[in-house]
Amino acid sequence: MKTIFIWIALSGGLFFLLVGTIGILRFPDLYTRAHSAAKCDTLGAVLCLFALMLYNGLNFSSFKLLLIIVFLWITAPTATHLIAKAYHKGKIRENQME
Amino acid sequence: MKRDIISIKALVLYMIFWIILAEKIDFQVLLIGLLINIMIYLFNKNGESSCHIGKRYQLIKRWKLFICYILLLMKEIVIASIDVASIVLSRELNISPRIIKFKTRLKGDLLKTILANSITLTPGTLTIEVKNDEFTVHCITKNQITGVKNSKFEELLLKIEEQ
Repeated sequence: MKTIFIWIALSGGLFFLLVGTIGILRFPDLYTRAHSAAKCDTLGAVLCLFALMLYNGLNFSSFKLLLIIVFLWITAPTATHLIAKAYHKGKIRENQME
Repeated sequence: MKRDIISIKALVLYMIFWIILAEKIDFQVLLIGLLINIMIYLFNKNGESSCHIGKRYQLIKRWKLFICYILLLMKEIVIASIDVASIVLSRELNISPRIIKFKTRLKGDLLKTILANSITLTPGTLTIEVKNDEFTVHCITKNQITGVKNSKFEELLLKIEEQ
């Protein structure tokens, strides 16, 4: 029973990572590519880590994985936001130069 | 007197973090952890980042609403992920990317940060800039614009702020 849940979570995570990678290759400009890369982190990586938590059961390693998930959810959007902001500001400056 | 209570709460938080990293609970680990945590607390106390720390602890008291918020966030992320995945895997990309601006009614800096981060976490929407109370958001399709402008996240955060 546990193995089935682990199987579902792990394959779901890998599916979303795959979709994210395809998205990076297919989308036209930086903003849309950033969307795709952010999606990889939020659902793909978190589902994979969740599957590892299920596999481990209730011990200290699971709590460490939980901490990784929390920090990933705080830092990943911040990084994406900063990349998009830098690009946005650069574009405004280019328009002013012209 | 109030300052002492706050410091104990911060120390308990640091101790939980330390025990998770140390992987065992015995006298030696706890003693070393306590010493290091007191040093970290003294180091952080004078920093600029902790000047509103009292307000933050008031927010943590409403943990029931925060748990509701996290569950809502997970639900929205799963729904939006499946949406974006279907866009990526469709044969022709049906995207109409655009940048929109909207004003928020939230006042606290921490809650604004939480709102901006959860907009970025939801696939398909991306916060570009936050200035005072104006958010600049990049959307991938038309449908998401209405979802961003009157979002469920903001309503719940307003509830947290009012209490």
